[in-house]
Amino acid sequence: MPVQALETGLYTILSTNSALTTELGGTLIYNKQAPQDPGTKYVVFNWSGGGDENLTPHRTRNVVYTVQAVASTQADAATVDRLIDAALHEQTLTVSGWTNFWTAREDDINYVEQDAGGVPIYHVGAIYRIRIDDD
Amino acid sequence: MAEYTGKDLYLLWKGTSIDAHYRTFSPTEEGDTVDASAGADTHRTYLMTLLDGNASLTMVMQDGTAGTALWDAIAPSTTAGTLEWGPEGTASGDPRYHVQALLTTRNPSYTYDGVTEVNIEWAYSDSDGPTFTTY
Repeated sequence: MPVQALETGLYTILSTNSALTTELGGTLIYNKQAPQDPGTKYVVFNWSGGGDENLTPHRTRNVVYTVQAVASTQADAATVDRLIDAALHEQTLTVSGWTNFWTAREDDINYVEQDAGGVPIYHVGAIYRIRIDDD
Repeated sequence: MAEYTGKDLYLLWKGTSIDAHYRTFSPTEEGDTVDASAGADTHRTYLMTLLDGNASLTMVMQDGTAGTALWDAIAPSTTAGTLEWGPEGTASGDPRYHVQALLTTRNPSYTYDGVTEVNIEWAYSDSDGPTFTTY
């Protein structure tokens, strides 16, 4: 299951990054959707595009994931984003059954929304391109 | 009869299979000509002289020992060898081509944000040209 293996690898590299988990106050890292009230700052990642390349008989996958910090202040969101960047940009994910040969930050994300009570929620992050090769 | 893609290409050079990571293989047959037009001719006419041929291959390189073995297998050499290809695979009845050739060019391309590719070129060196049979 390439999707499961890749997302496990993405979660693992983030959740084992001590600088990031210390800043978050735990492994507040979620795939697709965070639970209700996870904390004042956390990380959400989700698939945003891509799949198999089918360029050679050897299987390679080229996908992009949105990885963003969600926080109650812009400063906190930016700090967590910096730590995500350090954990991912040009780093190597461990993906069971595959070799990760390219992981890099591409487009940035930076916006604010308000919850039902008018409290701002800041999002800072980026799109990361991840390329893996079938072992 | 139906269209087919290149996904089943079988490619053998000096007895080594080199098709696992190919992207494009392009064998070309061509003929030299001489201009036979003269006098009051209004359009050029030609005579065919010698037939010739070449082939080119683009493949994705691999790292580690597998990559080294592949790299060594595609070294230019003064010794001709057999280049064999089966465009539809090697099932019984599939077309099989082979020709004596010299591997004349090995040209890798290292791209910062892309996979490393290598282009290989052969010059046919076969008094009979490519031979067509079936598997």
